[in-house]
Amino acid sequence: MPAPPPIENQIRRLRFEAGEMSQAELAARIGMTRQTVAAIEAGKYSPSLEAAFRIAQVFGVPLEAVFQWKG
Amino acid sequence: MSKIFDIKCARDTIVSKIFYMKDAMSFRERLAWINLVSLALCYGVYFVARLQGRDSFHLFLMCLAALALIQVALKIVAAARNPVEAKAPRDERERLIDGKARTLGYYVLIVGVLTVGIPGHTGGNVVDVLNHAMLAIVVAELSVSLAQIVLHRRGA
Repeated sequence: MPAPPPIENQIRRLRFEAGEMSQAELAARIGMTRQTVAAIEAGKYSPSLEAAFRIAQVFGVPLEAVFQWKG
Repeated sequence: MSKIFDIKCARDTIVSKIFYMKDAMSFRERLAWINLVSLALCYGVYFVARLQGRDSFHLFLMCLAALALIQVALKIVAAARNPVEAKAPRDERERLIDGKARTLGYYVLIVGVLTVGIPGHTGGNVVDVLNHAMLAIVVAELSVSLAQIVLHRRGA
């Protein structure tokens, strides 16, 4: 099994702070499936740059507020 | 604030596990399961009959028809249960999973094709060679579906 990417994210906290947005709602807003959002949140999947920017745009925060490089 | 966040996180996790279990599997993963099970079932029946020495073109046609019927019916049911996901194009993760699975399937197919000539050299006839070729294709398709399922489960 390949090692997970050294990237942390704050998506769960940001969803909570955005009025307890569900994974499904976030997925619908960025054009992805709920399972993909769950995989991103769990650190099992690294989104593309475009997807990362879309997520940051939904929460109205800069990209680095959503994803942090821990490498 | 962080304590409320932790409590609500725990509540959401429990609620999602109970109420969203039916949505735990994405539409694409469901399709992969349908492919895997229907291919294994229909072609399994045919190839077991072949191994038992029953050589029947009619059985082959029946298995093919059964495969088509099962796949169409189950995929329609899967799409009806989740019309939004069914209509949506594959997202980037699903395209990645598909690509990885099909790459694996390609290599499996190559190995299968390289062994197609074996029945011909070991006393088999043309029908044996053709069945061997079909087996190679079926095994490749099974490996694609299996890889898709594993990658979906793992999070790719």
